[in-house]
Amino acid sequence: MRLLVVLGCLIPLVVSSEVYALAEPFFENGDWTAETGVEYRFFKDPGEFGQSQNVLALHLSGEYYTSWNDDSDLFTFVPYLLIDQEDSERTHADIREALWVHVDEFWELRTGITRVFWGKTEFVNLVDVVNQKDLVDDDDEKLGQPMLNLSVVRDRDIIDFYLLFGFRERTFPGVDGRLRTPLPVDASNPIYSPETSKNDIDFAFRWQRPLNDHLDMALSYFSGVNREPWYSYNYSLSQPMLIPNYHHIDQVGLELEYIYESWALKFEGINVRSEVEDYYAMVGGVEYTFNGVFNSDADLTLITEYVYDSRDGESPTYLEHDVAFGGRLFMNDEYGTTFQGGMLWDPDTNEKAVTFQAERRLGSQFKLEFRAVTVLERAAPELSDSTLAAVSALVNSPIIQNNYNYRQLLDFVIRVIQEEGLEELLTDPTIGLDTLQQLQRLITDSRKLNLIESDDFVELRLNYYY
Amino acid sequence: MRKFSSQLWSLGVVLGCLTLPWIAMAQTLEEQGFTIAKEAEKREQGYVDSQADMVMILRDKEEVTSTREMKVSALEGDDEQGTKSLLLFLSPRDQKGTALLTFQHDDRADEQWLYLPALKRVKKIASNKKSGSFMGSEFSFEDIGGQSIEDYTYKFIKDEKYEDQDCFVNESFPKDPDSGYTRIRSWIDKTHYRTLKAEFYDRKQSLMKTMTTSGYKQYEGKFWRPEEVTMTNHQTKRSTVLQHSNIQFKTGLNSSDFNKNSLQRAR
Repeated sequence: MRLLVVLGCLIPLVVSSEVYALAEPFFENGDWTAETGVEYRFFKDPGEFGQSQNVLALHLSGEYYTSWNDDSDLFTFVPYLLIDQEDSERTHADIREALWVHVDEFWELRTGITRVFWGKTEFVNLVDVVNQKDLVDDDDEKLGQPMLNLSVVRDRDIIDFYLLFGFRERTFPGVDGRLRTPLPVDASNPIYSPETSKNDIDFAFRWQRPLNDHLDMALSYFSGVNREPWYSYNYSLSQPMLIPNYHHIDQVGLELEYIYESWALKFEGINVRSEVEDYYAMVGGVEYTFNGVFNSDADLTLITEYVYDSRDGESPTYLEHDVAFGGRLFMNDEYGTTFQGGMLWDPDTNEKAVTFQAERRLGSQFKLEFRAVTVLERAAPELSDSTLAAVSALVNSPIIQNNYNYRQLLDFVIRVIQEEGLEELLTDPTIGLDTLQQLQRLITDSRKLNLIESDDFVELRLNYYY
Repeated sequence: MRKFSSQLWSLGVVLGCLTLPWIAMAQTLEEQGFTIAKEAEKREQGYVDSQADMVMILRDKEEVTSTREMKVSALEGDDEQGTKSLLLFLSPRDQKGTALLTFQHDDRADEQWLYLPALKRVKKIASNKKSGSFMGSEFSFEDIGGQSIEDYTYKFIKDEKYEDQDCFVNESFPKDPDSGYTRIRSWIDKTHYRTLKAEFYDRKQSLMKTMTTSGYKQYEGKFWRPEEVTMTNHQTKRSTVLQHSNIQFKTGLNSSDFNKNSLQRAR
């Protein structure tokens, strides 16, 4: 709270004196650059719900940059457009950045829309919560977040205060998209808990400090709408959809990174208190780099990390107690050729997901990227064979509520009856069974990998920079 | 001991090896070698800060295969802090905005951070990489990074004329076992202590690369900087030319221009 007060006092001072005189320079002496990427995905199998096996997409982005006052004021504008041949939900535009930065010797103030990265580890960044994921674009893409960010530098400490204006809802693939859940997510009708809304002003804070030459630390705090939604079911058997549910969370994060010669040790831990659950999660690992392998200029980095989530199977991602292995071979050549491979392995279920990536520059303005993603050893969920069995299995699952109780069971059945009518449910014991089974697939312990079942794919992307 | 204030990135110095007037007869060849290096270091001190634009041209025999454009800035160290430098990539275009921040330390390993603009991520990286190509060029990381005078032992070899200038021929021997070299032989002119040429011998003691400098200009009435540094690899027959332009000193940079925040906004 005290931080908020301090921030509240500082920002008006800074803004009021500067902001008025500054409309003009934004559009003077700027430079545009742009990037176009053509992406082709080939899926090994036809979509389970009739989606296409071949998908083309076009990524367009530009960047406008200008500075004034001897580089103590900067403005960047980054519009972004993604056009997907098949999925109208994946086709979207976003302002990744529209940011004015005012730089002073010991602080800088960033006003506008931007993306922020927090974290140290390689496979997953638990602490990284400032921006919403642009899930339809890619797993590590983020939506631009409007904010006011005061960054204070003191010796080697950097302290950031953030006021985040408005909540960005997560993007989800549509009915025609691949890599979607068996029941599509109705991204446009989310449910906000009473404590949250789309217009929330969230608060975040991060303090980075090197403890010595080798050991870096960062402490962070976030209070706002959870970027990761829960899901509820719309109770329809004819047009079943998942509804994202957003809750308020308070998250404390710790990051540690120790680098010594060719070794790196990395750790991220979070403790989350939300309206609906309290939990902690962490990821930690080791990285070693071999310089000049195979008698060449190439560097090979081997990484292993372990992910733990105290919610076990109820965690919303497929990372609960997983081991990750990866390698990166950077050729250090003229073309920036890089190969990367990674595997996630859940020792409990023996599920494995494997990715492989490669990239290489072609000439000075093109870059070719290749990626392959596959899931090995899927655990097949047990599905109920009658509607009532499925209903009762579902009621006992996190998708309905965290814990079973009679009231919820009753509510659930009543909602289904309201949607579908009692008569049909009684006369046909398998009505809606398909839907309920799909729902059930999502909520078993292994549901997370099932999200991408039969969605193994290879991707080729050619980027042009101009 | 003050750091070799080498413009690090900037002049691709490879200064590790300077030679010095043979001052006292009593000195051993090793002491003479060190004295030369020391004098060259002294002449580099006091630049306060510097900035320059760089173009790196990669050649296979005579054919240009690619170019890279960079900007470098450096802040001279003092008794408390080592030299700080920032290297920003402007091209190739997919690398635009990528930037590298280095804190040199005299008595311990340097610290380095890499900024990856696509992820908006600042990543601390290990700084122990010495041998191996820098961005596919014939310069290695140790050629281009700032070197400390203590990173080598020295030996004065002889006096010799190189391109009509009286030079010391001095050899330096990297102490670091990770270095790609066993020794570096340098031709240093006696008037200004500028490295005019250097030969790099690999682990098998055979001549691997030769560096030559040209177009030296004096700045601030004191500091000599070459416009062009050429590194030729005799084993691969490839070469890289590093061109400097817009060299400026005492531009008013301070330590706040060399931190993780400035790394992210570097242009």
